[in-house]
Amino acid sequence: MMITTIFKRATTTVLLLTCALIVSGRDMTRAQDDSRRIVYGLTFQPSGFDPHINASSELGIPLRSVYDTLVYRDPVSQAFVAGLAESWAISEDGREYTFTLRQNVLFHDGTPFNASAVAANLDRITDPAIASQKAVFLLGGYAGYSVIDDRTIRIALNDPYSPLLDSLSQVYLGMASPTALAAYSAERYQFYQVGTGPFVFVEYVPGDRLVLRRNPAYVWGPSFYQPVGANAVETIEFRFFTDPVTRALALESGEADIMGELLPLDARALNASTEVSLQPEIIPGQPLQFLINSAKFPTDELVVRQALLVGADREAIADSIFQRLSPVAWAPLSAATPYYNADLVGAYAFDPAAARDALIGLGYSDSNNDGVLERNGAELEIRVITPVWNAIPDVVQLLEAQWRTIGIRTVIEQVPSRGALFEQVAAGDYHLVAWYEYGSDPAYLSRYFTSMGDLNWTGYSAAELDGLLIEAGRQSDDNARRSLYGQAQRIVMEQALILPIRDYVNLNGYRRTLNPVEFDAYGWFPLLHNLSFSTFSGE
Amino acid sequence: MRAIARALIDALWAGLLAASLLFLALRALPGDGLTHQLIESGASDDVIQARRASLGLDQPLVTQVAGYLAGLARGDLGVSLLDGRPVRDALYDALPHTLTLAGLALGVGLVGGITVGTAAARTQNAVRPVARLAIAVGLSAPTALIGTLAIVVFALWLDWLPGSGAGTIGHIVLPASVLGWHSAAAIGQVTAAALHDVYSAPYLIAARGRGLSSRRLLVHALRACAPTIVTATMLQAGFLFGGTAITEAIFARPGVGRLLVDAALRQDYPMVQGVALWCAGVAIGAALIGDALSASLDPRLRDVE
Amino acid sequence: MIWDRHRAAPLIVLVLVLLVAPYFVGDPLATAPSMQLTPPGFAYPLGSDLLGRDMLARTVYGGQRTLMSAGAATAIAVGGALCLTGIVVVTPPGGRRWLRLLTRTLLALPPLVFGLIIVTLTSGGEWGVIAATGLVHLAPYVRVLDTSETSARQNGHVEAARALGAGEWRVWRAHLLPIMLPTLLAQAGVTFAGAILTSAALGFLGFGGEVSAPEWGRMLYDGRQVLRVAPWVPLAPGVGITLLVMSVNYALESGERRVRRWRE
Repeated sequence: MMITTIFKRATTTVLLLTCALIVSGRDMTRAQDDSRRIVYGLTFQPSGFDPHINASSELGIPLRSVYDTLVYRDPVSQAFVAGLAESWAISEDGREYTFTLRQNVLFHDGTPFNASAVAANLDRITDPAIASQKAVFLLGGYAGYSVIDDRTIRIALNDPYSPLLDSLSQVYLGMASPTALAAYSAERYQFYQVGTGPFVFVEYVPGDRLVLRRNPAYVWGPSFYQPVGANAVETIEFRFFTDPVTRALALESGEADIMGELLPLDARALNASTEVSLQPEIIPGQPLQFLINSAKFPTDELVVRQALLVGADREAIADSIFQRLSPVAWAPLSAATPYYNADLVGAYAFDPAAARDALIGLGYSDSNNDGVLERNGAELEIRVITPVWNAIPDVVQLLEAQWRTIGIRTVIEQVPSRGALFEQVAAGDYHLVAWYEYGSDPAYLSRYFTSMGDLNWTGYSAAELDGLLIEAGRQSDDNARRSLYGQAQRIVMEQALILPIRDYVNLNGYRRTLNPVEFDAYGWFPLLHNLSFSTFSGE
Repeated sequence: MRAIARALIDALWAGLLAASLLFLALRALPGDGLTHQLIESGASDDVIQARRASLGLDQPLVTQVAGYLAGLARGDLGVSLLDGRPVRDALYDALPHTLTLAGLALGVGLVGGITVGTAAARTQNAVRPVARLAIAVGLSAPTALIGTLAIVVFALWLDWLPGSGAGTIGHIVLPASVLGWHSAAAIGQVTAAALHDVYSAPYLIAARGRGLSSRRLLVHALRACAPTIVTATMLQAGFLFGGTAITEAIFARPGVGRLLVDAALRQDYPMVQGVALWCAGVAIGAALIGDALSASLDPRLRDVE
Repeated sequence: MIWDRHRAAPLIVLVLVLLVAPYFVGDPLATAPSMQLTPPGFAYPLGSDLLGRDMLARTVYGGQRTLMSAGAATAIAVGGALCLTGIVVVTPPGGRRWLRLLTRTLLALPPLVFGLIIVTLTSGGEWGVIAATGLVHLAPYVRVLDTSETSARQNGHVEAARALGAGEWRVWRAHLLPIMLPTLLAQAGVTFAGAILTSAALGFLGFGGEVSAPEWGRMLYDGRQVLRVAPWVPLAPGVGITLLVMSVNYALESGERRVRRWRE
């Protein structure tokens, strides 16, 4: 009797454990069997991994090397160099770009690359049914294409659009195999991606991993892709580390070989490590900023907006939250972005007394002594839409405390996702919204600061600013663009339409078994092609 | 036999009810992940309508529920709103990790629980308060705290075990132990209480009087407690197989919990439904097994309705 | 030892401290970035966090808030369970089987899963978390109440009352409820402990309202980021949760003994 019971219980336990072991054995078959394999940590799980459809920069980290683009931007000189297009010509009026394509290029599935492949990609990106979130916007006033012959294609524009080459060098306009695009539906293609790039897309399991393997036939890279040596990395497994705390831990324990977006405190600590090196990369684009709603009381008054800027101690924020690893931002563009207006450095320096005086000068006073200024019964209360990522809640909490000393009450409206943020903005009940976008060409400023821009969350509309930004998007002359964007930035800051916080610096870390990681001109995307081991035993 | 059949049928009904309720509750919500994404990319209303129609989201609720239940019968759990990935595939990919973790944690919990429960009830020396403290802390400490401390101590300071990821047996030790501690505490508490009751039962006192060694007494006692322990274990099993979200987040492991949290954050309702349904199924199944095991171990329980 | 005789003492002390201490500590929201991450010492008894806020104040206020949410969630659970049992009472026996099925279904979902669903339904936010926690812990009541109701019915009083012509409702209210009350209270204690952990878990996963107002679950989540340079930041709320739940469980042990003695 007793034996039967013990036997039963023991069996249950053993069965459970055996199942567990068998199942974990399945885990083990995936373990490293390739000595030239590394693990790269991704930090965010985007809702989709299709570069034509989704806007996240995270997807570009692996996919930049799965696809080639027509042109590339040299990371050092910022000049445009040949990619899948050997050469290009721009018409006099700036409305036609003719590309002569490279020959003998094959997609990973064997399909030849030619003009009709480019056409298929352009069709897909501009198809309203796939609802592209970024790629189609990068094309500006795109009016269509014409295939001249197998290796020549002409792209037509409604209006001159100077950022076109920049757009065509971004992963969102990478060239995918038309065979693969036709074989899968819009939502399914992301699991079966095929490009011409230096790495082949092996598999993607959402939330778990994305695996790339080097393309041995790849010989058509841009000039800054180094020759592949014996110590080159062969296989890259991307894993997701969405919890920031796990990132430095994974790097130090060897779970991951490369990791981005380390926490500033952890990055600081890594400076002392012998196994891991820190590699900060400045990202051109918009800084972390708050767009201020100029169409809603009380921020509809310029003085109030300016008070918000002057009352914000941005140095303290850069010090405490970002550990001085990010510089304070002063303009709608970060300092590393082309056409940045350096004259704006120091604008609206921190001066809480002046801020409060200005508000009182407007007629505000604290008649009921509750610490909050009011005027005609209306309190000085502002609502801030606060995404929960990238330390933004910490920034907002510091701002809240700083603004409280000048008599402004802050209500924090937390949003857990991009979708929720857009929902809140659409509802219109906000005064500040945290936002940022990346990119080397400031043409995206039109989306935010022209009256017809689709991301005009400041509600500001002025003919002068419209004119400047539209013209800057058409101009091809560098100096002209510099002057136009410079003026536009000045107006944005004079009107206090944004509260810039910090320039984005991606804190990367990599284990010393690898040579230093190089990043492309956009700052975000590693040149996976050039990844190599620093000490290779030649197994 | 009839009791088993009845229990199974009840379980099935419960499952169906759960599925329908879940479906209705989530569908009744305004907005969803897909619509948000489309709005974000500035898609026109036509596109949004067309997309929703293609997924069958514009049909009357009753039709949708019926369709969903019919799909369930075929084994089709629906597709993700955002990337069209079949929910079943997503579950299939995530399950091995969660099963491994939960299974090992349950093993740790069972073995550890009986051990520490016995220690808490029967030993006289310094072991007893330590065991009781271990149970108390195991029941009270949040997994987030224990897990993070474990990573810092074992992965960083001592460097004995990996602190994150999945792939080898080594990767499971820490997460399973952290989860297992809580289960061990729960099972231990039940064991201790049951042992306490049993040891004051007349027949055991009589057995001791007859001169049975304390070891054989213990075995007798444990056997008498078996149904209670089994019930507690199965309860833990239900919790474990559904509640690994936090542990998976802390240890950067893929799994069902992560799947659920991500889907909830992105308002990907079919995915939330599918995962929740699976968890419910496991819990119902665990309860069934528990009842069956208890009944087989203690004939007195067999006639209960 | 005094502990054994007054098992509820630790809990009472802790609750009193959490309710009263806010009057004696500083401002939990006052930031001082230049004083960030100071170790516990004279100026900051429990140290300061990333934004230079006083951890002692935040822990105390956070504990109060955690107590309140757990209390609210428990109230929702108890209230809901009573309503549900009341409904069961007035339902004819045929319908009861379905109700039992329904509750078995609710019981089937693990707390975290159920909580996540409800939180999704209420789109996050503080009240969403409280409602979720409450509903999540509702199911055990029904099973507990069901069992004790069954055993109470076997008691002679009920038979007698029925024989005298008392209606179902009166029977329930006057005879069954008083017997079920001790069990109900004991279960409420268990719920309270569970609610603390569940709301901390949901807060940890990113749900639940205000960013700045301290609450132990969120503090634990946020504090982990500075674990290595300032362990006191996550440890204070973490240990707080552990101690609070431990003291609730400890107090329950005495409650349970009393219930058992009462039954006998």
